[in-house]
Amino acid sequence: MFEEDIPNIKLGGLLPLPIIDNAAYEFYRLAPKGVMQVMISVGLSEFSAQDVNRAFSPLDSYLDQLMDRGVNMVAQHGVPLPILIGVEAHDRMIAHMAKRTGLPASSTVLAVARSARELGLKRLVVVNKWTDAMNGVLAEFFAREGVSVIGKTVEEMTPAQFVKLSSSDNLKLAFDLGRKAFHDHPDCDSIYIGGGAWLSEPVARELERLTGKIVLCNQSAMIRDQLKTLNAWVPQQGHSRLLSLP
Amino acid sequence: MFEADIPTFKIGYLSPLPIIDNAAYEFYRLAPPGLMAVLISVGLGEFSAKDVERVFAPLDGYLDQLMDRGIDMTVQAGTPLAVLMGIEAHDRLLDHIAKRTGKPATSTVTSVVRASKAMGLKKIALVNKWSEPMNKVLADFFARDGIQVCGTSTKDLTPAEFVKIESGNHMQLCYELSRQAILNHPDCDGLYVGGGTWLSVPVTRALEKEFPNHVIICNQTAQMWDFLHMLGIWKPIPGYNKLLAQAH
Repeated sequence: MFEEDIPNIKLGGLLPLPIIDNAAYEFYRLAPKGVMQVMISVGLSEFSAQDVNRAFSPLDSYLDQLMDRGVNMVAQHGVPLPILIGVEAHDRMIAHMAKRTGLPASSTVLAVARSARELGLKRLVVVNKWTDAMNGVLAEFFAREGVSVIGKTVEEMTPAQFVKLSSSDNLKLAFDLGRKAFHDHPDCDSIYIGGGAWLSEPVARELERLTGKIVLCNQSAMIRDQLKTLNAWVPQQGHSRLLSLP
Repeated sequence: MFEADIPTFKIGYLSPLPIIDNAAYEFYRLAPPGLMAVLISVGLGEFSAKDVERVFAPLDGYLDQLMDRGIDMTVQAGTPLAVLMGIEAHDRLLDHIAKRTGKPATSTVTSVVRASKAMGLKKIALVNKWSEPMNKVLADFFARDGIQVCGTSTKDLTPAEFVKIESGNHMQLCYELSRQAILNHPDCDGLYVGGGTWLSVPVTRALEKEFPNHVIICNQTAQMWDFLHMLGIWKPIPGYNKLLAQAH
């Protein structure tokens, strides 16, 4: 009787910050009908490896709760967390998530780096609010997929600072930084706007229109990557270019 | 440049359980464009007054975080928390939330009772997975607004039990309990189908079709109706149930 209303795919997500706002808002603007996000906040409060370890200490319990809800895969959301703990620790965590749940496991950083590789991108500029050290590790994730990070356009902020920016100020900041990235690095073939505390998908769409180049952002990379993993991806029009690709 | 993308209103949500799934899924199916839910899980683990007290101990910290995100109003989501603490404690909580944030505050139980009253309901049957004492307090909330609870149709389950029920089975349970409620209490003019861990909106639609003389109230539709009225932006949302189709 309710076949049309029952979610046919459930994406389990470990979300980084105590509050869930932009993530669900953008997800449900982009996700196909019948796809549900099942979310737990891990409650990161500062950008430090120590706080990441604290946030993930109940990991198994989180995974068990997601499995209770019948998720089809699990993902660690938020690029800062893996780049604070490093590539190897991230890979161990993803492997553990897959083993514990018996389900496919991924992360935002994997989704973004994979998307860059699939698109044949070679020279990428990163745009975000993170530190030099964090961006150094981010570059390692891209390098692993054969993508070089050739520059960065950054306004460094802590979570406590950037969560207080209004939505419109956050969008404008993303756009201004993105436009500067293209201006300062005309030889790049793409930029990656990282971070979930700004609504980045509309910015990606607008910058693509202005530059003709691809702009990667978390939401579009994650949705496409997860649904491809589940053999459920159907290209979508009207958003950033990544979502229109098979 | 991004006017169509920026949220026009933000609703701060104190979400009861550690996981957020159905609430956001149904919220965004119903919400008009530009409405954003800003969610914090308070992490209720069991149905007890003690656990409710535990989860609301950091309340001011939660409210401050919601205010940092620029919310326009706050909702204490989850009827069980309100009925476990009792009417007076609930009312004090909402007053405190409104005072602390300087913004309107509501709760799921308040939204449900307001919606029931707006639909002219006088005798309502309750459908949920809660205990008898919890349903007695819930009846008090309705009585305060002149609505009599004439019966219940329940399956008493703990959160640990009901979060494991698969979506399709959960909706079927919701539907069957609701049908039973109407058939067992033919004098009721409506139902309140309580609980956020089953997808109740499609069930209310199916029930109103099968029982056209009844009004079926559920959390998500009552909340959306209440939020939009509180924000002064109400417009009917067709295609769901009688409440959301209302002109006012």
